[in-house]
Amino acid sequence: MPSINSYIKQSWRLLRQNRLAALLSILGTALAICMIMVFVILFIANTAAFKPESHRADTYYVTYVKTEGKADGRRIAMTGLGLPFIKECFYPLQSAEAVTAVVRDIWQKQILLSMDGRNTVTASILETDTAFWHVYNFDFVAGNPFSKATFESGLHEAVISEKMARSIFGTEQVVGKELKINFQVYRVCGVVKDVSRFADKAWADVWIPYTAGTHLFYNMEGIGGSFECYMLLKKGHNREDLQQELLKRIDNFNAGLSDVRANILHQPFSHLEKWMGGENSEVSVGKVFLRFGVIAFIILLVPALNISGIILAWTRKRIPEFALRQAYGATRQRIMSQVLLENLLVTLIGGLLGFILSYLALACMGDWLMITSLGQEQLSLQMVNGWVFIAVFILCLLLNLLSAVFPAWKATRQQISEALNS
Amino acid sequence: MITLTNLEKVYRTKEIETVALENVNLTVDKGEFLSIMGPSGCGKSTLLNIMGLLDQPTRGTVEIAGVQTASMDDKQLAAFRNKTLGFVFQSFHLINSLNVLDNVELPLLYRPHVSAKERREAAIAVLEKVGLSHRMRHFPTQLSGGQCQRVAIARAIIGNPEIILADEPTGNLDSKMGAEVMEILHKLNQEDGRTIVMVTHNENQAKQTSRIVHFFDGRQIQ
Repeated sequence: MPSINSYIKQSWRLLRQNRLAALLSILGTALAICMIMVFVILFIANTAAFKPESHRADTYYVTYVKTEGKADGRRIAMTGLGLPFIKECFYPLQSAEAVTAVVRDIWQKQILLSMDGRNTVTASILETDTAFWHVYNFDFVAGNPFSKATFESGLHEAVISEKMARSIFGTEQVVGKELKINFQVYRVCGVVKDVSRFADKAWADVWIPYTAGTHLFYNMEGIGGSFECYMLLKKGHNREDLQQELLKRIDNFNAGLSDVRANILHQPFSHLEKWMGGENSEVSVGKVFLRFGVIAFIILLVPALNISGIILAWTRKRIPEFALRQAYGATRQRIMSQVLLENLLVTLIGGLLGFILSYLALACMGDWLMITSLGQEQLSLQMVNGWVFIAVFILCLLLNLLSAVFPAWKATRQQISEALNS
Repeated sequence: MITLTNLEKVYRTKEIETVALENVNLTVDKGEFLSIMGPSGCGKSTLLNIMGLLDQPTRGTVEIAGVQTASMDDKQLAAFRNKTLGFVFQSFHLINSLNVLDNVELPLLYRPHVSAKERREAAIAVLEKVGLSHRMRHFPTQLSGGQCQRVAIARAIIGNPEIILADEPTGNLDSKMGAEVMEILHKLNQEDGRTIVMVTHNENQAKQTSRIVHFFDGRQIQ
C-alpha cells in the first residue's frame, strides 16, 4: 500500500497534536502489555529451549514410580527410580537418542573444599551418567565431561560451574586440579558456564558420576530408589513410540517380579507438562493454554475498552476527514485500515514501553516473580529472545484490534455528505 | 456530461418527512460552467451531493459521463469519484494534520499504480497552477482563507477529473479572495475544458458562468 507512509506520518502528527489522549492511550497499552509480558517472559524462560536445555521439546521425564502389590494393586511406595529398574527398562530404549539417570538432592547442599582447606563453599551436586552430556548441551569453558571409562570405574571426577571454580580456585582454568566434596577428593575434568535455575533439570553447581556417589541403594526388587530418568527422543520417533516401548519393557520387567510391580502412571511427561504441574496427574496442555488465553484476553480487554473510548472520541472528531477521503476515492475498507494502522502505531509504542516495563517489573520484583523450583534466579539475556518479541507484537495486534475495530467501523457508517458537515 | 432524471430526495425521521428535492430533471453539458442558485434550504447542496455521489437519491437516476451510477457498490463508487469528480467545499475541508503538499496529493493516494514520486510531482505542478508552490510545506492553519480554497482547488484537479463540483466556493472568503478563486475556476473551465457545477448565493459570480438554474423548495424553477 503506497499510502502507509502517509498514514504513519499523519498518525505521528495527530499524536503530537493530541498529546493527552495519546499519552493515556500509550500508557494504558503499556500497562496491559507489561502485565501479560511478565507472564510470557516467565513462561518462555521456563519452557523455551536454551542452553543447556536445548532439546526441551524432545525431552521426556520419568521422575517417580509407584510400587504396588501385584495381587491387589495396593500402593506400597511412591519413590524415585531404582537403578536396576532404569537399567532394564530405560537405558535400552530404542526410540530414545539418549537416556540419562540423575540423582539430585536439591534440599541438601554439599560442602566443597579446596585441598588446602582455605576456601569452602556449599554447592548443589548432581550425580549422573555420561548420557547426561548428550541430553543436555553445556558450554565447556575448559576440559570435558567425565568419560565413559571414568564413569564405569566410579572414579572421582567432577565437572564444576564457573562460579564454583572461581570460588574454590580463583580461576576457571582448573582442569586436573583437585578439590574435596564432602571431604572426598575429586579431580576436576571440566568447567562449564553457569546454568540458569530456569534450566532446573540440568542445573547444579557440580556434576559427578553417580557411580562415585552414595545413592546407589535401591529397594522393592530394584523398582524404587533415588533416581530420575530423562529421555531425549530419537529423530523419526514420537512420544507414542517412546511410551509404548517403555510400557512394554516395564511389563517385561514386572513379569520377572513375584509380589510387586512398577507403575509409572501417566509418565513420561514432556517438559511443558512438567512445568504446568504434571508431577502427580495427567495434564491437559490444551486446557492450561486455554485458561492462560482467557486470562490474557480479560487482562487485555479491560484496557482495550478504555482505549477504545479514547479512540472513539478521537475518530469522531475526524469523521469529516474520513468523509473527505471517501469523497476522493477511499473505500470504507480503506478508511478502516487507516484507523487500524494509525492505532497500531500507538499500540506499538505502548507495546515497546510495556515490554521495557515488564523487564523492569521482573528486575524490581524478582524476589517473588523470579522464583524457580531451585530458588530465586536473576534476570538474564536468555529471557530476551525472538519469541518474546513475537509475543509482544501479537499482543499489540490483538489489543489494536480489540480497541480500534469498533471506532473504525463506526467512522465509516455515516453518509459521506452528512459526515462532511458533522 | 451529467444527466439527472426524475430525481427526488426525501429525508425521513420517525416523526417527519422532509422533501429536499422533487422531480428534478437536469442535464449539464460537457465543458459547461453551471451555477445553481436559490435560498438556503432549497436543496442546492443536496443536489450537488447527489451529483457528486456523496449521497443517494430516494428516487430517480444519476448518469455521469455516460455511466449509470445506481447499481454501483462502495468500491466502484469510490473509484468512479476518484477518477471523474473533483470537489471544492465552502469550508475547504483541508486536513489540518497534513501539510499543503500532502493535502493536495490525497486523491492520488487512492488511485492505483501511482508512485510517491509521481504524486509529489503532480502535486507540485497543480500547486504552481494555483500560485501556491511556495506554501507547499505549510499546514492549513498557517494559510489565509483564500489560500486554503486554492489548495482545495489544487486537490480537486490533481486527479485530472472531468467534472468539478463546487459548493459555495467563495462563501467563506472576502470579495478579493473570492474573485481570485473564481478566476481560477474560470480558467479551469475555459482553458482546460473542465465541466463545473457551482452552488452559489452570489449573483454576480453566477452571471459570469455559462448557465444558471434556480431552485426553490426542492424544485427547479428556471
